[in-house]
Amino acid sequence: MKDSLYLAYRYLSYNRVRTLVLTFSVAIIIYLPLGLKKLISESEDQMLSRANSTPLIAGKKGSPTDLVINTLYFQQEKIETLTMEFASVLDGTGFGYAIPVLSSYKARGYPIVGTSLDYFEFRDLGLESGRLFGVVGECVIGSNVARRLDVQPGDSLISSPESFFDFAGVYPLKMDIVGVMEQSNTPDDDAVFVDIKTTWIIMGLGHGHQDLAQVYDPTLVMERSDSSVTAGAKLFMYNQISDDNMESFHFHGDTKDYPITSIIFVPNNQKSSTLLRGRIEAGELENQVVVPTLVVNNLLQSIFRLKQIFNSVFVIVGLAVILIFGLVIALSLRLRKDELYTMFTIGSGKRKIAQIIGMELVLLIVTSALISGILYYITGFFINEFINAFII
Amino acid sequence: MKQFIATCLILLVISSCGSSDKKDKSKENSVSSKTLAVTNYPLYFFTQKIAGDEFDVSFPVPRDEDPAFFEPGAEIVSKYQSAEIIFINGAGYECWVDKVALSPRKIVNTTSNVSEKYIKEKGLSHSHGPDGEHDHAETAFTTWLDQSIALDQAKLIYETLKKSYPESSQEFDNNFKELELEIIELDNKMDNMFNPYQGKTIYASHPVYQYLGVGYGINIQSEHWEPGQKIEQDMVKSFIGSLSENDIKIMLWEGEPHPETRLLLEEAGVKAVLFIPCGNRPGQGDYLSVMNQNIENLASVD
Repeated sequence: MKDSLYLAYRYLSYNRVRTLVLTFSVAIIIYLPLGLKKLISESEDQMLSRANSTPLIAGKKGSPTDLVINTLYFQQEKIETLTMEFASVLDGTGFGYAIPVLSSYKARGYPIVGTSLDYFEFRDLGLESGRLFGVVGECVIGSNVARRLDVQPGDSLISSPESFFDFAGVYPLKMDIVGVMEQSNTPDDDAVFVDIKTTWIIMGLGHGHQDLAQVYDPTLVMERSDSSVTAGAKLFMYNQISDDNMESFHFHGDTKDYPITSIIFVPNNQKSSTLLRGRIEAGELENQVVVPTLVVNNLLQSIFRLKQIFNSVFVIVGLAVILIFGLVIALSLRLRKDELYTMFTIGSGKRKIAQIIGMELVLLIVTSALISGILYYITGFFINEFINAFII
Repeated sequence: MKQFIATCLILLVISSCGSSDKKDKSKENSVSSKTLAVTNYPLYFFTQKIAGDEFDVSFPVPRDEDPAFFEPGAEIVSKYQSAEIIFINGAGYECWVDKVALSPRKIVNTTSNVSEKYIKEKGLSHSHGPDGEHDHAETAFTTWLDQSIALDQAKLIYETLKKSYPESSQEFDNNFKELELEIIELDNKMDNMFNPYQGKTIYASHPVYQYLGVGYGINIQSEHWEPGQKIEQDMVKSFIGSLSENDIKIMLWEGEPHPETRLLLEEAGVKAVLFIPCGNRPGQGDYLSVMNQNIENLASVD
């Protein structure tokens, strides 16, 4: 047995190229259906667990899928915004509490998520280092953001303008990093969290500038009367919030009218959830309230169809490869006719020859299985990319 | 075998000790988690009176700061963040609230039920950029000087606590009844005190007495003079020159005026009366004793 294994090994290592081609063909055939199954089932689990842990999402009437994807995965689709007042309206129902979410901007490619401190308690997110944001202009980053950008508490991040050509639009805001969240293996790891008021400052709804009552530079002040001052575009706006200029930051108008993309609503119990949905459906309250689990389940239906198509393709490809594999073995045996005859004439019995060839096949298949096992293991690391590429 | 059983027993004892420690800790946490926070002294006084000793009422503003113009640092913000309920005065008193990260569901605006009584004061309007003209209109914020509003504020604190901690409902009821009587008594005293001045003008060194004026039917005209600061002679003279013979020659001060300013005013027959709004902790006594002292200070003018 040992000698057969040795001879099989020597034969395979002598014919390296053919062995490699066969091994990888078989490995891929074993891996593809298993890997895809793992990707799909783990994506399903991950998506459903995120959706299941989020009881209700409220947003402006429109696509429920976009609303859920924006709120749960921070994919910044252009969705219509609702006002902060609706969060107060939902709070006022007494059915639970509302967590506002505003995710429209990015910092170095990572979504800036404006929310309230309740979000961290609700998601049960812990801090790896530093502290939670305390004042506007501070941010807390997800563990992946910290690792990939190599930043930590004490460093800063600058919000990206919406468009490079939007010179008159949103001013970038330099945000101080005050904390890094613990790894949670959710989209929270890839987000930059700020207080919702910081997002409004990024949007330009709140700002800090020199005190106009104290400015007498004629190039800054265009018009001045006892009751009003008109400043020109030269007026300096602060792009970072510090202890020195914090006092000058202010919001225009009532913050209740300010935009948010969605609201995570945490009902007191199932009855409260049902009552709230009932009120929305009866038209007593504006906007839409969706159950993320139902929306994500609908989304996953299309993935099931995708999975079925893939499975059929793999069965056909698998059969073709098995046939080719058989053909390669048959041709190989024909090519090795002289070699096998020599083995026979020097005293190796037919059974021994069959054992050697069997060992070659076993080695090939075991190696292929090992390779597909490694690929299967690596697949686990690409679930987020898969969700982003094929699902969202 | 005996050794194995002994080891198992020891492990069992250790683990049960551990779990009881945990239970104790969780109990400790649940007790210490009854933390309430407030943003000025009157709210601190009302909350502590109503909540009783079982609750930890945090008022983290330093004694030498005016809570109305205070900008909390990270450490103080974190104290507010860790409270279960944050009672704020509202009426624009805490301008810093818009700049800090606090959970909106924890914040209770104690004047939200009386917002129609807010007194608005127009600020300097300005315009820059595409937003157009706007002004940062200010609201007068020393609401508690009108004791009927103070009572509304205390009532909202009581109702919030009752709703949030129903298990302590009975204690809240008793404590609030006691406080209610004290505030009503104070309100009556103030009413009696200001009754002779109804519809007349009293002067104030600083614009902090708006609700006192509206609440007790007096017209209050304010200067912008800081207590303790020497006011320029010309300014004092100009003020004295503007007085008419029918005016009540009393000027309310939130702190002791500079001796020279007091002298100049008294030479013109204007009596400087200390009427402390009590936004921060008093050096001595409490909210009620300070307000009673204010009434006595006014009474002593006659």
